[in-house]
Amino acid sequence: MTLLRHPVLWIVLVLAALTALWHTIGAPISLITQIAIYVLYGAGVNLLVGYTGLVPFGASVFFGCATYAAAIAMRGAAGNEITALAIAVVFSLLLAAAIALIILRRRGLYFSLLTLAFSQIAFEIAFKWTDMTGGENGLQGVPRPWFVTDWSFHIFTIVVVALGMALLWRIAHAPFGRLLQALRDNEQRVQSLGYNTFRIKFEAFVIMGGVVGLAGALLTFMLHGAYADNLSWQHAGDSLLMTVMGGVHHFLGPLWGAIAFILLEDRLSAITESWWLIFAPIVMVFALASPEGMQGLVFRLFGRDDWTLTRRGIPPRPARIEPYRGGGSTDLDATRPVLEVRGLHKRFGSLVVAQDVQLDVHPFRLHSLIGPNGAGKTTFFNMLTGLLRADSGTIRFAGQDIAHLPVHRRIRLGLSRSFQILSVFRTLTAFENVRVAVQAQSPLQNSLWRDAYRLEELNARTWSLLAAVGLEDRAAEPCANLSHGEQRLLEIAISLATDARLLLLDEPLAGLAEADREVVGALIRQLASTHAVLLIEHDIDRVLALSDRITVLHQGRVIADGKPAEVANNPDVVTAYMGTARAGGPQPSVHAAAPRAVSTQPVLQLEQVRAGYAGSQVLTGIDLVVHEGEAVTLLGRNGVGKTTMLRAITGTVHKSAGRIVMDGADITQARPYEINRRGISIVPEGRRLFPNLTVMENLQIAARPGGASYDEIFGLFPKLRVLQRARAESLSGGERQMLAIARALMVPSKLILLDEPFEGLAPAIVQEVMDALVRLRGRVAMIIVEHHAETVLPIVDRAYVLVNGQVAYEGSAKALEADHALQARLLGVVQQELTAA
Amino acid sequence: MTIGMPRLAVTRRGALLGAGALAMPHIARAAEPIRIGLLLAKTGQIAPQTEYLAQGTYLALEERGNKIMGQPAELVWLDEPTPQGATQNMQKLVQENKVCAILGGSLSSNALAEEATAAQLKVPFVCNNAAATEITGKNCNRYTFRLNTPVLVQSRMLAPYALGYGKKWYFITASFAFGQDILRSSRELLKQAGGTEAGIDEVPLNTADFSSFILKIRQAKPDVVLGGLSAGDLSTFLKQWNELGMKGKIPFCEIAIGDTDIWAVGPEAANGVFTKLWWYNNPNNPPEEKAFAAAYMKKHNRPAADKAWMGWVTAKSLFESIELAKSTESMAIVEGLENWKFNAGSAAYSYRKWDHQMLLRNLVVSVKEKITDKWDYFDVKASLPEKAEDLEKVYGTPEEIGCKMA
Amino acid sequence: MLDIILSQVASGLVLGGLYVLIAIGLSIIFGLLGIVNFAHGVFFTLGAYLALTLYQTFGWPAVILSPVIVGLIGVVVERVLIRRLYDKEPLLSLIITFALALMIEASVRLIWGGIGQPFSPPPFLSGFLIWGPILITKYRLAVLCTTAAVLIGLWAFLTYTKFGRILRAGSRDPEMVGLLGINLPRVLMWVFGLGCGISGIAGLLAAPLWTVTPAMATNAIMPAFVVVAIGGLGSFAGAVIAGLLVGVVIALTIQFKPEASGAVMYVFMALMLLLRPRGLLGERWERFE
Repeated sequence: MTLLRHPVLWIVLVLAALTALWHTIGAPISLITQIAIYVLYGAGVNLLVGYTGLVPFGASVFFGCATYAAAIAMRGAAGNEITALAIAVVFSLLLAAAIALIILRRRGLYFSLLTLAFSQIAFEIAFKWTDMTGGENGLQGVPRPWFVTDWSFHIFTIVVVALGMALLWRIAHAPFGRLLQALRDNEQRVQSLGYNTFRIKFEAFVIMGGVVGLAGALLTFMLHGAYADNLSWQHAGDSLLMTVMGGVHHFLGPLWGAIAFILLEDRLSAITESWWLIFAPIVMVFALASPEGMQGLVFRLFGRDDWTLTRRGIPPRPARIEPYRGGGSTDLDATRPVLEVRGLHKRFGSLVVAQDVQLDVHPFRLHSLIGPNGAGKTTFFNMLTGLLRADSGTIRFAGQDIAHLPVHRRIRLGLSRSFQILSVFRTLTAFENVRVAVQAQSPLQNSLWRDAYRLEELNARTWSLLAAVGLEDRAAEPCANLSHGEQRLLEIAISLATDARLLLLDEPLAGLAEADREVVGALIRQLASTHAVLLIEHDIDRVLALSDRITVLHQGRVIADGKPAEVANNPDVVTAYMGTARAGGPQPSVHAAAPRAVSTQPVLQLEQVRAGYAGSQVLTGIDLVVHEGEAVTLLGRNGVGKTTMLRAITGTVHKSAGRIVMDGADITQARPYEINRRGISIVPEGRRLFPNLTVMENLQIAARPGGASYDEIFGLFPKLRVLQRARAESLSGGERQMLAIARALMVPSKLILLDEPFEGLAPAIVQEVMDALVRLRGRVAMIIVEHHAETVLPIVDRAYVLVNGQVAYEGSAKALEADHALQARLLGVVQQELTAA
Repeated sequence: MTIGMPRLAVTRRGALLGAGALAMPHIARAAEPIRIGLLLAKTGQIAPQTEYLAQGTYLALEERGNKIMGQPAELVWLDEPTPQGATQNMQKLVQENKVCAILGGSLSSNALAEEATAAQLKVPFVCNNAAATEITGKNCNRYTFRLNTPVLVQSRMLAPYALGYGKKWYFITASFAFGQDILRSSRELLKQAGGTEAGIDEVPLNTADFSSFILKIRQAKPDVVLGGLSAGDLSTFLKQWNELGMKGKIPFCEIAIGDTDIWAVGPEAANGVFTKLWWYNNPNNPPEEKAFAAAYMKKHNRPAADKAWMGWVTAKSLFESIELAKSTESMAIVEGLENWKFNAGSAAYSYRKWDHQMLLRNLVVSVKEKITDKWDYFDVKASLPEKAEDLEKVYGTPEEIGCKMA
Repeated sequence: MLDIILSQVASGLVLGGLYVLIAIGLSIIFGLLGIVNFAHGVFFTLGAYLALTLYQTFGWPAVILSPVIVGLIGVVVERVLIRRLYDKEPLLSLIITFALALMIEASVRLIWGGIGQPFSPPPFLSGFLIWGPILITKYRLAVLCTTAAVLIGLWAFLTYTKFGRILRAGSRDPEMVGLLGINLPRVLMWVFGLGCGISGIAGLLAAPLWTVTPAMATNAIMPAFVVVAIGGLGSFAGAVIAGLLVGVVIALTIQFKPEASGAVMYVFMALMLLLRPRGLLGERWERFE
């Protein structure tokens, strides 16, 4: 039964059918022999393209060189076809290994171009080296002692191709082959599971070389000779073209592609001299209409959209799933820290992201790392795992300094990390996501032969992990079909799989609904009883409730470290979170809080707007109104959806429901530039200046009649006048912020959206920016996004507070400013009576 | 098949093939015509030349009212994109289209692959363009005949002529087989004549800028430049040779120029002394060839290039041999070709029995001082070898050629 | 020896200049559209052929129109085809532009015929100049000057005009450009046209030097890719430096080891990319990684 579903059987059947057809119509069989050879060629290339996600534009270098290797071997010592094939394959493997060492360090387009360059160099050499390769004339007279007739050679070819394809199918299901697909989906994640990704790519490249070389050697025997054409750039892309036509995400893609390509070429070139004139449009229309190729097109007709690079399905679920037990932590000593960080420094240009960071993490504790946006938390994780190198400082993990080890070595020592931005393998099943992670612990992780789904031990552990996060019923679903919350859970399961001693969890609750937060929160708490856990999280209430210890980072420095209660009452922490007002920071020098007559004419209205990113709903029904000339602030802790709301207004995020009205016109589905032209401009998070443009150019690009004049701008920000010729990338944080605001003013706007205009600014600069905003008040309407209520409330008319994607407070700024308890509840670092609630 | 529109006929036949052939190529053939295969590249660098070859071939059939031995005859033209494509299309011509003989082979690599396939399929193959020495040399076989004079022989013909300009030679030759052959044989001839080498440059295929090579030649100040560049590269070289002011300063000699190559150079830049097989405006052309040139002019509204003649004369040799043999059976045609002779005045061509190489005097031509007609570039200077008896010698002895037919 | 080397460098610079012109359009299209345009070389061919036809029909001054027409063809191609590739995998743009290249080449063959077309420099630019050791023809000097003028013009255009600012800004943060009220897709259409038009200028300039055949793109597209890769994808200055370097390297190789002059640029490219992963002036750019 399983044999019947084996795709190699399909290949043999299809080729046999073609053979029979050709025999019946009396056409030369070598055309079908050639198709069979190109199937193998294409499949070898597809091992890189479809499975590994690397696009070699010049795989022809192996095909072409192997044709010569086989021909030369045959004219030399190799007495028969099999020996010559073997010699050619070995030669190709060696050649691929040599080339891989040189070019695999490059990625993407550079990789594609480099493979093409090698193909060209090989062409130049082959074409010139007449003594060895026959040069432009090629080599003729390669004998076929064992398979003299075309028919016997045809059958031999089909057998060899079938064997080659069976080998590739086997490899695709082996632990190594399964890794390739994970690598294609997310190389960084594979690396952070402890795999040596260079080695994986290297092996894949070499196997590709060998398979393509085998195909090339077969061609030599088919032609009784070898020629340079296969190396020329016009033919370099042939195999890629065929594979894409057939479908790169299907094991049989190269089969359909080779048949279509070769038959079309054969028939079209008999009809016309300019057959590309007909063939090229076919290719183009086809590639656009069906990016998944011929098989994808047929699948779509039958309502399927899955890939067939491997067998469908996952191993059967065992009758009893072993409950998850944290592994590898038995040797942990609760009294000694498992991770000790000392004096860690890191800067990007003028921006300091870590300054003398000290931290101890003990086993069996939930240790949280908090801090406002841009405090350097994720950067810190990146330094721990090795994605970033620290400028100085030591990181001792389990008694060893790991600051200079590569990522996969650190992971193997027992670090494990989940990512802030979901980092899973999107096209793989939930089961496979976890299984790949489990495999990282297995001695068989690079096996080319064993069937990965028959390694029972790994399967059992995978099921345990899935069950631990409650995903065992969703195991067979492709990851992309899981909800955002489920993907988060999956992310954690992956992180758990490596048997880590220390779990680094980066915002595991981001984008989760309340019910999911409970589940994940409880899971994290439970994990802390078997591991050391270091958690980054913005859900302060939950952090305070769950953690054993909390470290607070602010602008790259540790400003507090201790038990939750101590940290929550630390004045520095309060300042960092609540703003500088209470600590006596800058105050608007222009007194702006005086009540003003505000228009009742709405500029912007949001009605029940829902929006989010792939799968996760960030805004869950927002109502908001801004009147002409009114200043409104949007408050809320990190991650509640403030920025998403601005993106919803400016048209850069998809809205799934609701309506946005600007001056009476519906702009819900308008494009960003149209929205801007209606009078909404934005000072985005991170400023998003054009770094390669000067200050003046940044202003010029936005300028439109009706906007602010340059004199007005320089009046508002005198500093910019001095800096007009400086490139934006050389500006300091405050200058950038001023420029971003100025740029927004160049647009004739009725409403300006400001996303955290004070973020990361020194107090003196905050003062300057604030003064500028106060001067603007009344002239245009503003929405100021902030998490420091105290800073912003004095300069605005009204306030909205968001909590988890919904408006939790709406009212006058004055009222909110006065109600400290309300502020603390909605915004502050105050331990809520969660347990009591 | 309509007289005068062979291309259309092929197209129509091709369309049938395309539409119905996959399912059943055995289209009902009412009166089975005699089919001759034509295997010439339809795309790629060589395509401009194969266009002439094909036109000449079709003209040869039309001249005889599209009949061979009184039976209707037709040509089936398939592409030869690469050696593998050529091999396959050759098999297709034989097995699917049931042709009795094949004309073609525009590139040496294709022709070498085709000749091996011809022997395997036992089908007569007349190679109308490729010039690699091996075709009728060590790779020769009973079924293969070849028109073009091998590179080595042409070099041998040109060398004495080039020595007339001086004994200090500069070689600029293609860095692949064609050029390497010319370089090897010419150096040897120069050495025998006691000349000196001013320099040797090997040029990769598709070189776009020759100015650096020309600067070197200019500095070396040779008596004569001996070229061995292939089609497109030769045109580019001559254009830049003129552009850098070298035209007329140092004589340039090369073998085997194609008319299309010199026409692509343009009258301002054209320059040099060349060998070639045929020139449409050669006053010594026999009447039959003159008639062919006129017919070609009438039909295509441009003079017949040498390639057109090559297509014509090979086709003619094949058709006449079939008539001679009174059979479309392979071996009979082979014997027919072996005995075929074209005898018109001073020109007498035939295929040599033991290597199937056509023995043919080559022309030495030089570009006119002033070109007034946009086609008429050459003055015919000589016909080599001067004595027809030397033909056999200049084409090489069996020992030199190394052809052993099974 | 020194004189010949100087002469070779001068002649290499002319060749390099042509490579720069072909590559710069490719680089701009890479940088802004994220498209690997394999069809770039055929716009070079079109530039040469249109110049030929315009010259034959209207005389020398008309050839200036050739790049304009090529640019407009580019705009049409962007609207019909390239536009659909922006949000797709790079693999797809590779395949589609590759097919497009072969299709346009086949069209050229159909329209103008396969035979090489004679085309010589205009009479007022024939002849050559000798300055000390350096020999250069008037036409080549004109090519060098035109190349320089085009590059300076392009640089000024990118630096001082609104369109140029949008292009430079769009290469870094296209979304932000949209948030400033600019319809970027429409701008991109003209960018593609501009890139093709510059390639057309290179074709026009090369036509009297090289042989005008339908396959002449082969001599243009591969060097252009090499130049762009060496200079760093999307970098203007990088393409200029790399183009001139490649030209000089080829010229010097011809002087010392002529038979390697075809392969030398690939070897040079492989070496450069080993030393500098993103080329001479390439910056880390997510879309190319």
